[in-house]
Amino acid sequence: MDMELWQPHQIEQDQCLEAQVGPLHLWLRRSGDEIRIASKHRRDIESRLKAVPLHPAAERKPAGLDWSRWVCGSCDQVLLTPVTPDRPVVVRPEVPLKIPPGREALFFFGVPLWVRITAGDTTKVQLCEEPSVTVSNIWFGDPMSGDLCYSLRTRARRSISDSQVEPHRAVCPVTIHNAAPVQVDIERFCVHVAHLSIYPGTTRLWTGGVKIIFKGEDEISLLEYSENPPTYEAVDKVLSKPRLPVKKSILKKSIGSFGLFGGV
Amino acid sequence: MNEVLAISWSNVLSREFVGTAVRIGVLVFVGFPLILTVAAFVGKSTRKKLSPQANMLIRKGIVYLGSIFILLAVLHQSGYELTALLGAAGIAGIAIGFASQTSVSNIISGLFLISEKPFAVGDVIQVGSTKGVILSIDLLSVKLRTFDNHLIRLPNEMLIKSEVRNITRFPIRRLDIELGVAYKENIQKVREVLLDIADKEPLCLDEPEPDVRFQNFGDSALEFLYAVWCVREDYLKLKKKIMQQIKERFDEEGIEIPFPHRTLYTGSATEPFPIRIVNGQSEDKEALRADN
Repeated sequence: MDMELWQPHQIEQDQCLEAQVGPLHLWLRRSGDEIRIASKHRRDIESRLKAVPLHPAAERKPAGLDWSRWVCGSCDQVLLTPVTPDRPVVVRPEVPLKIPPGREALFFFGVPLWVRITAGDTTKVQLCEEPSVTVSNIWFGDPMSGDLCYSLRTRARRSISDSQVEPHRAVCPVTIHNAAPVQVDIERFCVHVAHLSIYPGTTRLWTGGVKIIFKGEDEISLLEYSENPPTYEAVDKVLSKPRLPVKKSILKKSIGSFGLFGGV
Repeated sequence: MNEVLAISWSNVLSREFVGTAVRIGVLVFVGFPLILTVAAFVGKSTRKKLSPQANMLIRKGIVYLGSIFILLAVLHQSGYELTALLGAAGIAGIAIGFASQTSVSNIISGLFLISEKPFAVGDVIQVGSTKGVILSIDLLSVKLRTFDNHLIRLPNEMLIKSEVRNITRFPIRRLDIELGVAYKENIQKVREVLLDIADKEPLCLDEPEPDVRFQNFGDSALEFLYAVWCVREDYLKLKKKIMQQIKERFDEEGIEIPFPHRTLYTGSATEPFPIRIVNGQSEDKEALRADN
C-alpha cells in the first residue's frame, strides 16, 4: 500500500499543494505565517478509489474555493493523517442478518476516515480535520436519550478479499457473539470508533478489531476493543492512535432495532 | 442635676446592662456573619447535588430563618415580652395572609416547580402563545427571553395551572411539514421525492426515519404530512433549508402545489362572468380599453 499520502510534505512560501483521499480533494496554501485550507467532495464514482499524495497544485490560487486560514507561524511542513470519525458509527447491513443463540459472526465494514491536517516539523500544530465523505447523521437510542452517530449503510461483508480498496476507508473487523438464549436480528449495530487505532496493511488501512457480545434485546452488550492490529494483513506500525483511551471492555447498548411509536 | 446624671450613668454602667449589651452585640456581630457563612458553606456543598434553584432556596432559607432567630433573641435579651409580640404577629400574619394570597400561592407553586423539574434554565418552553428561553426560575415567577428579545415574567401559579410545553427537553425533534399537491399528481412519486430530499439532507437523521403520510383528500389538494427528525439544535436550520428544497425539487419534478380555486357566478340565474386571457401585450390592452 502506498504510504506517501500519509508522509510529511514540505510546503514552501506561497506554494499551494493539493491531495486527494477518495472523494475528498484538499488544497493547502502557505501564505506568510498562515496555512490556508480548502476542500471539496467529488461525487464521481472513480474518485472513490483515488489516493493522490500532496503535490504542487496546478494553480497557485485555485478559484471558487472556500478557504479557511490558520496562523501557525513558520510551518514549512504539513502532514495528513487518517483518523476515525469523531462520533460513533451505526452500521446498518443492507440485508439484515440473523445469528442463532450461541453463534458468532465476523463482519468487515469500511469506516469512513477523517483526514487530520497538522503543520510544523518539530512542534506539530493540529489545524483541522476534514471528513473524507459526507456522512449523514443517525440517532442511536430512543427519542428521549441516545447518541448522535454517523450512519453507514454497508454490505457488512463476511470476507474482505473481494472488496475494492478505498483509500478513504479503513476496514474494521467486527465479531458479534450472540450470548443470549434467543436469535438476534442484526438490523443495526453501533461501534464507538473513537477507541480504534488505524493501521496500514499491505493493501488497505485497518482498524483494530471489535467484539460485541450480545446478551439480549433489553440488555447492555459487552464491547471489547482490541489493542492489537488485525491479523488479516501484515501490519508493522500504528498510523494513528485512538481518539479516546482504549477500554478493554465497555458496557453499552450496541445492537438494537429502533422501536418507535410514530404516533397517530 | 449632678445627682440625676450620676444616677443615669450608674444605670448605664451597671453590670446587668453591660452584660445585656455584650450579649446583644455578640448575637448581632457574630450571629449574622455566622449565618452568612453557614449559608455559603451549605450552598457550596449542595451546588453539585441540587439544581441552582433548590440551592438558592436553601441558602436564602438559612439566611432568613437565622435572621429571624437572631432578631427574636435580641428582643428577648432586651427584655421585651415575646408572647405579646408573637400574638400581634399572628394577627398581622392572618391579615397579611389574606392580602398576599397570590404571592404565597406563587411561592408554593415555585416550590413545586423546583421539586418537579418540568424545565430548567436554558430550556425553551411554550406557555399558550408565549415562547422563549428560560432565564431564571425564581420563587415567585419564571423569567423568559422571547426570540424577539422581550422579557416575559410568568407567575409560578400560572405555570402550575397551565400546559407548559418544554420544546428542548429531549435531544432530538421532529419537524412536521404539511403540504398539498394537486390531485393529478402520483402519490408514490411525491413520496419518493420527499424521502429523497430527506436522504440527501445531512441535517436530517436517517433514524428515526423520515415519514411521508398521505393524510387527507383536501378541498384543493392531496394533503401530506412530511415528518423528518433532527437534533434539536439543527431544527431551525433544517426548517429553512428543507422548505426551499421541497419547492425547488417539486418545480424540477413538475409536481404542482395547488392553491384554492373558486368559481364566481353573478347569481344562479345568470351566465358566468366572461373571462378574457390578457397576455400583457399593448394591443390587447388597447382592445380591452376599447371594449370597456
